[in-house]
Amino acid sequence: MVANITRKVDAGESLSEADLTELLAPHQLISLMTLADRVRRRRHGTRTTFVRVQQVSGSGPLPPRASGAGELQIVGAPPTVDSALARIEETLAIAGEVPVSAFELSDLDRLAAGAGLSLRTLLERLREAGLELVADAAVDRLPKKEAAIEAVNMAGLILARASLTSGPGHPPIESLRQVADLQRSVGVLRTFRPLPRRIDPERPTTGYADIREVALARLLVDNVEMIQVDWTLYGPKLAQVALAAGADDVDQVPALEPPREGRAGAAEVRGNVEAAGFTPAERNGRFDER
Amino acid sequence: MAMDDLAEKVRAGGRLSGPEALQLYRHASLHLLGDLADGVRARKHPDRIVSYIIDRNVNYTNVCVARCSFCAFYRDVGASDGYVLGFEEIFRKIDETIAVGGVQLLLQGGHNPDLPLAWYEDLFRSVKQRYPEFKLHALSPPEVIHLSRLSKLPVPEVIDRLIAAGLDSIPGGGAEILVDRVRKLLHCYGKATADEWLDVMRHAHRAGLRTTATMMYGTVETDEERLEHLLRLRTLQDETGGFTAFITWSFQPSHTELGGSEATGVDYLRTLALARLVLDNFDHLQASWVTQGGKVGQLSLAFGADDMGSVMIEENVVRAAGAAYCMDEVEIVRNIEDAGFIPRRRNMHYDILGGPIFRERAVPRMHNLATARRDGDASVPSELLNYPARSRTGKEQRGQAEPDSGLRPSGPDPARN
Ligand code: SF4
Repeated sequence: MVANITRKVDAGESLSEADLTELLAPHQLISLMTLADRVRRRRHGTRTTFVRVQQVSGSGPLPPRASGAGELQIVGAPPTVDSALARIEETLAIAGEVPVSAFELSDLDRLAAGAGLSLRTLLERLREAGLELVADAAVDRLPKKEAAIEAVNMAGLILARASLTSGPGHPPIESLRQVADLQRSVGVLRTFRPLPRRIDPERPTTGYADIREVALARLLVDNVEMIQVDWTLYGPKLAQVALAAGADDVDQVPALEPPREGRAGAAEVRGNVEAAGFTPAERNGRFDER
Repeated sequence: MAMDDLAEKVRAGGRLSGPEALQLYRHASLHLLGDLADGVRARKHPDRIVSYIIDRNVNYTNVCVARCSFCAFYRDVGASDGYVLGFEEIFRKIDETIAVGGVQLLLQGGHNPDLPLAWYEDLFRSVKQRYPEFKLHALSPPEVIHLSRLSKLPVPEVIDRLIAAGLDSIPGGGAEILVDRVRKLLHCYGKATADEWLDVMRHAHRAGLRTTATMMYGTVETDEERLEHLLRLRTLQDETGGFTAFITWSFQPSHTELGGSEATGVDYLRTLALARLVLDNFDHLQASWVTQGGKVGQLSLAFGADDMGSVMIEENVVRAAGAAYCMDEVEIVRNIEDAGFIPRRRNMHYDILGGPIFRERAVPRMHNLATARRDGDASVPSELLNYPARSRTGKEQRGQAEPDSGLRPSGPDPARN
């Protein structure tokens, strides 16, 4: 059965429900990883990109810019349009050449609705304030996904990442197919983070579930170039194993100088990527190699 | 040999030579290594049972004269935060362990010059008197050697005396890498050479004890030395059959003299899979979720492990080196079932004791591992006064000092050398 699935994957044929059910069985985890790795290597070879991100809160004093940052990301939901604009301007003032990304798209959608603006108008105002990148689109939180992502495009902004707040869930097939469908209609998603952004501390996701979801995302969301794993949220060990299951981009490597102990530092990420048999390449938030 | 031929040999149940195992370890993909190791696990455990034990990892003292460079746990003789647990404290820990369904203590500690063999014998006897069914999985080979040196008795006699006092089995700690070049670099050659470690296990097996075997990798060893460690264990297992299980973990560098960085998650899974392929005469391989975290710990089940180790209740050694993962029985069982296996409680001999205890009766959830003692608790157990100390500090503390010795300024302790 797995040999037949492998043949289909190699031929670029779509997988049937029966194929996917077979691959989702826990005892097929390594077969699933192997297939996702084949697809990933066909696209990217051994190249694995990573980006060092300095997160900036939506209010309060700004920290000094970390010299290693490849992206400054303003996080949190802005309470008002003016506060969003002000924060972008303040952050740009310290950013220098480093690309600035800000906010999550469904939060902006709600902000626009509350302010009586269209999402596109709000995004255009953020663009006029100097913003380049919308940091994230949690596609499962967007009521009108296509329209919202097209508004980003039409406002002249770039979407830095697309993600799922609650993860693909069980079974994960449906939500991953929706992401692939969304991309067929918008065509602008460069990266997709399949692992949930919200983790229940009482019942964290398991290693099997995480790896299965990364691998399935690589197989099903075949029209998005990069599958991301979050270094800070998921930790170096899981992030590294995810590279062998279809992920090719490591997001949210902390930009801290000097590297703090544990989960930090470009050297540690490079070492982990190489130890997993891949070739590291650092990029910035604009996807330019550094 | 070509990779396909090597894979075929493993699938057919053939024994890997050293060079063949090295070739697989170095050149096979993570997926192939995992697939082969999973195949071996499935052959040995076709029932899809993944076991675990409810026990408590108690470190009776952190005072140690061995001073291994990879250890963040030990304290020097006389250190203000050095401790020895009292018998009553240990009994309390056993009570707590039994309350959550636990069946044994994993009892290990530093090489404390002020704890003579009689202290261990009295402790074991009193535990067995109070808790006749409760098991003592205690004293790794270097501790046995330390007691042999301290008591000037040969190792087999020390083992016999400990068995007579109540020792049930010996944990495989202190093996690190069983290659003397590595042991010298890690300052653990003095506590036990590779041959001495293996000899303790040989004597223990001959005396009828079952033991585990371990490997701590990721310090200064080469791939060849990692493999040599496994091959030496395989040879002894061929000879005695006394090992129940093998456990490997990565060196935890924080707060250690050796320092450096920890080996990666992928390295752990590759090493675990290699062990499953080489140790064809070991029935069980444990996942080290304590060092790898729950997620990679669970993924171990796809890379050759068939046991989730211990619901530890307490852990001090790995925590001292910076890792602080905790999984109670509920969490261990959830991870086993999520991976498609059947969870079963076991004892040290891998006899199945039943299903999850929390499904039989209410057991409190445990979100943090306990520690040996509360911070700042510097109490000295009263029964220690009954045992002769060997270090000057110990003698002074117990009022056993020579009449003139109190006048000397404190300096390096002779027991360290
Ligand atoms: S590893 Fe054991 S023997 Fe070595 S210093 Fe630590 S406590 Fe002592």
